[in-house]
Amino acid sequence: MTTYSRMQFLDGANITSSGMIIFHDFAFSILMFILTFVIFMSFISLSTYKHMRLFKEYSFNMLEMIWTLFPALVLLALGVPSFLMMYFLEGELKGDLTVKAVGHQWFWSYEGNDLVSFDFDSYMKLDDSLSMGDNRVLEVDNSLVLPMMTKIRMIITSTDVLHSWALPSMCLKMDAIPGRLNTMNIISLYPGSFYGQCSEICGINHSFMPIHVEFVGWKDYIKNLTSM
Amino acid sequence: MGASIYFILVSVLNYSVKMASMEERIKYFRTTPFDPRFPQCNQARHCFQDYLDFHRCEKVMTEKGKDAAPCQWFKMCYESLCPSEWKDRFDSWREEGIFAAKI
Repeated sequence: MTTYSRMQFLDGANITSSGMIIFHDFAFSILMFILTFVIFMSFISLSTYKHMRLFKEYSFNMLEMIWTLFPALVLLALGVPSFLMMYFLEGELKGDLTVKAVGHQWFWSYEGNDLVSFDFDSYMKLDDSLSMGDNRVLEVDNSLVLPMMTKIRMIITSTDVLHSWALPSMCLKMDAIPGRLNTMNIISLYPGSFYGQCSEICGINHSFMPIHVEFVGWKDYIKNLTSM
Repeated sequence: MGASIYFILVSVLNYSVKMASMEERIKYFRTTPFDPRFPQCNQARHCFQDYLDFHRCEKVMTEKGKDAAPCQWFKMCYESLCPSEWKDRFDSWREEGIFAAKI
């Protein structure tokens, strides 16, 4: 979860989000290098402009070669990992388990029909019912429990207006659109609880429909399902 | 960034180790498989088609006087894809005779 002291991204909870964080850091280092280099060179050329007549009198083929090839290589270095990440994120539509998240004004309801049919609404906990250590406007009364290390096909839809189901620590965000069953895959590599918020303005209580997903081991998941 | 690389390595290793217990999971769970007719992100048509297939299958099987048990496959598929609200709506349309396809 994001807190005030945090300087960087949330820790990635699956491979795609870790990959995106690595790509961001990599691209950022290249961008910082370019920025410093350009500022440095502009400073040099402004302060020594009297010597610039050298460029008019002589030709520097090697230098021209370098300043043509270097940006091309930089673009290649940015482009190749970017495309790799893009195709990696597309994923497949297979899943070992299907869970449906339906957006309502203003709560989420979750359904599943695989082993045991379940259907519940998850409302935000009000300030009065929070216990010590709970996160305000992030805690819900019924959280979604999912198994870790499993490819889960998440179907996102809505019944009234546009909503968006988001889980930032997994780099996931999918719009909930009435009439569409948007599909995405979730694989969590760690157990734990992950928070998200509705990310598409959906009315007056848009800020008060959080998402809380708990990832547990497979045996605990079965136990939880059968007790539901 | 170092932490991320470490996480990725550990995750990949963990994942390859845990894949062995996949058989155990399949024993418990059966969900709608990937359908090459519906490769897109929007699975609404897939849900509709499976619902239609189930009712067509049931109708044909009962007309021929055969066991309708194989049709349960389509039922499992549409139940795991369609939200319950959609299913209820389809059912009411079918009862009223205004369902959007010929069953």
